[in-house]
Amino acid sequence: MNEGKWADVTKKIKTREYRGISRFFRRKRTIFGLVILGMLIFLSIFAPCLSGNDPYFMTEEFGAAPSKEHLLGTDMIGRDTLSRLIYAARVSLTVGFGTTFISVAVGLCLGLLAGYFGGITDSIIMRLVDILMTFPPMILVLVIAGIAKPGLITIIVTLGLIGWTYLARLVRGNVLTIKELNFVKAAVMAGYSKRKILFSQIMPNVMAPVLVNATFKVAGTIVTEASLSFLGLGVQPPTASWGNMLSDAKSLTVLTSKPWLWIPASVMLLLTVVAFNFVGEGLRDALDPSTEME
Amino acid sequence: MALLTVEQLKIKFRAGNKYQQIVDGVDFSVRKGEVVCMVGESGCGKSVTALSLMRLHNMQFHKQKGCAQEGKILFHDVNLMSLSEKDMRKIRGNKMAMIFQDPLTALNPLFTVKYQMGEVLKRHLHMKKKEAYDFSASLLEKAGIRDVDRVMNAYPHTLSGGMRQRVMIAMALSCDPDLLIADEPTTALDVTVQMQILECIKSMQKRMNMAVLMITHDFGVVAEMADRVLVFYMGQIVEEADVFTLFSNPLHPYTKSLIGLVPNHREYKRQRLEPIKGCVSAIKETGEGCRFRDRCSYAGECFRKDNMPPLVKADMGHKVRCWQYETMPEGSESYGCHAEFI
Repeated sequence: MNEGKWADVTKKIKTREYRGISRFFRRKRTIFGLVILGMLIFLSIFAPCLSGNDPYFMTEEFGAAPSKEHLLGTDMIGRDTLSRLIYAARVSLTVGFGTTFISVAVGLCLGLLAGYFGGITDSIIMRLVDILMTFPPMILVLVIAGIAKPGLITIIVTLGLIGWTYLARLVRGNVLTIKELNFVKAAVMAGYSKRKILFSQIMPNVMAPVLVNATFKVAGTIVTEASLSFLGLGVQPPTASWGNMLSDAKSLTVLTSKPWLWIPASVMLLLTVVAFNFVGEGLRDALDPSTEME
Repeated sequence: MALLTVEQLKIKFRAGNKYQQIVDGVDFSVRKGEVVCMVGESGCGKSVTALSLMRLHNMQFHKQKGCAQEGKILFHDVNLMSLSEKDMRKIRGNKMAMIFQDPLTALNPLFTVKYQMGEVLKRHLHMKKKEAYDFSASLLEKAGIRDVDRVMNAYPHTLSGGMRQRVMIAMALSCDPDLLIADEPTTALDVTVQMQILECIKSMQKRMNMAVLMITHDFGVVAEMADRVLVFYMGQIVEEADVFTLFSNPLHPYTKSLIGLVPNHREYKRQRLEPIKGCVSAIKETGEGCRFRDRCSYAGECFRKDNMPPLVKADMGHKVRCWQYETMPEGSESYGCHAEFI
């Protein structure tokens, strides 16, 4: 009987340690988001096997309605919409993750430095952030895309290099509170170097909000990329992107009579963005106990 | 011989455009294996003095240029003020360790106890992982933790305040320091745990024969722990004595009032405790004379004197900073009314 009691206690202790994980999976939306994301990643990795048709091959049917041959029809110059849709997932995810990676790397480093060292370092970095934030991002990207050769790399680098400002502020703010805590002082007392304190004591403590924000950022970036491609300044045809697929809908005939050209791309965009946001929300709840849900 | 000697330590902090003298010419020494307590009210420079021994004010989180420190800190006959930051890091945590007032935030919430303890051992003693684990476990045991295995694998938030303070003590003592600085180690804990922690520090101190410099507000702690006591008032030492002398024959009016404020439970009488009138004035307002004169119950002649009373020797190992005792001839035996000592 006693043993049973103890097993119960240990079980409780164990579940307490995994509380974060269970909190992450508690919401149905988070699981929904994860499933969608999993499918998207699967699609992009195995795009050549799954799509069947070559996304660049032009058939003789222009703007044909869905058929057995082309499940989602063909676009205005005769390419298979379904395979273009699948290949476009690759582009969107690449842009989303690539941009976020650059932003997080830059924002995290500069934010840590600004917060920890303060003084003149802080002023310089934060004024840089202020300056970058005054530019409307869309216009800035338009200008840069106009100057540099528009394309995937240009988009990723540009969006990455202007998107780190918010993250830097977030990280700096967190570092300012964390560096006053006793364990940082204790680390100094233990004879650690500044670099070690910054990267092995302070940085792990700011990773939670950074991770959450990065997830939301991926969603935001995918939308930005789609808008740019829609305007013709993002990913250049013939490379498929949901944005430039949607730009076909600029013509009224397509919009009214050929819905298979724009509905799938819009739905994919919507699903992706929603999925990333749901996962981000789940992460926030799991990592930050102060936003305990009802 | 003296393990640590502090000479004319002066610390200034920048407030606006001016510097404010927080610690003003402090001299003291700590011998090997001795427990020295620093007492005094909030803001009198105890903690600042203690932190400056580790040269922490040069660290970034004290705002680079907002602090100036001068004087001499001799530790093992090496002047710490002249050491480079790199050499200083070898002393911190190794020869000189510190425990803090608030054990709740003193451990990094993201790492297990064994990881945090292991890091220190790896850094200073170059231990391997297994070795470090065994050594930390034995330290925790010495610090009075019973279920060592659970604590070693636990994250700080699953431990109680007393447990965390024990872990902190074990961590601080892991490299066998010669001097432990304890900055109000029991203030955040409840009274029963307080006692256990003090006993833990005391037994470790005896076992390792290290010196302890302890900061506290609590005269109970002083009586329990100290060999010698330094009484601080507004950035200066106003009285220094061994613990028995201090309680039986306090000389400085400030010390007298502080001790008078401890309720006497043994001879319980309904009597009002006499508070020290006034409050600590801002340092810039004090002018040149004795800093305690506005609140002093003895202040007679003192108001006419425009300079600071010197810290004079009143007895063997008993020093006091008050004009009352300045006038007495050097070398006379004792002062004041203390029948039991004559």
